[in-house]
Amino acid sequence: MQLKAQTSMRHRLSVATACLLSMDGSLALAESLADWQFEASYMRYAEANRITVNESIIAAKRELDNESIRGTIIYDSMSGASPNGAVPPSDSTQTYTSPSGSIFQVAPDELPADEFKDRRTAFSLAWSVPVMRTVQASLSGLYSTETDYLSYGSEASLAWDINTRLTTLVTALSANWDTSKPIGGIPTGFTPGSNTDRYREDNKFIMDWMVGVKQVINRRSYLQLNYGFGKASGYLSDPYKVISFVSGATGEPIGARGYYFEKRPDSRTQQNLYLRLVSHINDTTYQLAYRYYEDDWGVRSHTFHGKFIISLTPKHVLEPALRHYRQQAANFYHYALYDGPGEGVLMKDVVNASRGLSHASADYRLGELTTHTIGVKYLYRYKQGHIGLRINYLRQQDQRSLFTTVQAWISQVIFKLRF
Amino acid sequence: MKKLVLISCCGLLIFTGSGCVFERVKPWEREVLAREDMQLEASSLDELSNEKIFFSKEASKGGQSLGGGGCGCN
Repeated sequence: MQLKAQTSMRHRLSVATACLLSMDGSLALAESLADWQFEASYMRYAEANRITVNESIIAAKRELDNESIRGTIIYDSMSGASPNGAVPPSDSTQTYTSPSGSIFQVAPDELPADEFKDRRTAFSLAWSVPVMRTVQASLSGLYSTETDYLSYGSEASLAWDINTRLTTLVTALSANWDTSKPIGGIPTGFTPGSNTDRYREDNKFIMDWMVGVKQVINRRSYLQLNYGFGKASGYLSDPYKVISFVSGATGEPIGARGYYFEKRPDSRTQQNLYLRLVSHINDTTYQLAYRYYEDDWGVRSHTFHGKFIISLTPKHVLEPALRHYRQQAANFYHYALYDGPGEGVLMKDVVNASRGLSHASADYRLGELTTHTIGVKYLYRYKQGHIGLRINYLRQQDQRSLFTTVQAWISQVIFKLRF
Repeated sequence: MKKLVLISCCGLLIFTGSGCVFERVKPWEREVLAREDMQLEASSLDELSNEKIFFSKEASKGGQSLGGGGCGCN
């Protein structure tokens, strides 16, 4: 078999070593000769009695020397009922008007949720090229469109190998320009549910920066450490979310439309620190990761993620994985707003924002919550790629047990071919 | 936030300056490190899907890659 000398010399040297010394030589050699790489997947995310998402992804990559171009197309279809943040009434029927203009009623003890259906299509193109012998640069662009949301994004990154390639320094910068344009318009934050005034659309700008290092520890292990910083500004509220206005004595919504549209700050500064250990022992690769996150909204979180890639045979691979996530609530997150003394915040501060409360949201995703995810992936590896299936179970719980636990099943088929 | 920046800088300096602590693996000894399952897979399709699910359901983002964004899901 003739080697193509022009393609990915650095990668070829490493897999040539693998060919000589490893039982996986035939698979590694096939990978080294590939110029094209094609990937596809179909994923289904389904929550019990709530949202369902079907996602299809196609990606194609062309490599020449150490340069590559990768194009990706993503198509999502989403439907179901999403909680709008209001509390379930116990005594009376509540009426809600969503930004799409639809009016729906919620019976006693029923969770207020907005039915929706949407489609999203996204395209991205990434170009990677060596700029010096030990420096690889990448540039990418993203375009995403939904019925009510538009996003343009770009990202640039540099990877610099030093220390005889035992150390890799990485830095990346991205920018996203988003436009929220819900059907029916955007409600002004902190206006009552009976307010029908809307404005057409609003914008958001997000900038993210990351710097990191990957360090080889020994023949079988390496460590990765990343620091990330991000800043978002503009319209950061969710136009579909409301916060209930309830009686401090009974906890019941006041009036037939006892709610206000939420209002979040118009800027957000975020930081995260990520540490990952990857190690291969016997026939298993262990990946253990930890991430700490914090922002100026008061959100703090810890994420622990473990993945174990078990090579049952050179062709059959099993990957069990588990993830634990714990989050502290945003400082403007409230279950509801109350009209008098008691748990929560005094309603009068909402009516006149200049006198006190400036922001409030009852979106449970900003609350104090824990997410557990457990699953397994099976891969069948053949000479030119692999085909696989993964199944995960996700359980998300509100630590104060005020909002219903979210349970979801994730299933995904993945396919890769090199030629 | 300043504490996080300081910890990150110290961590990065320790990593990059610790050549004497980590083993100096020769190029011909790197066959295990070259395995496909040892590579960083931020761009693999299941990692992309996972990143979006967690970004949509939680208030955090970032880590292995810049992550998140491009949708009205959060």
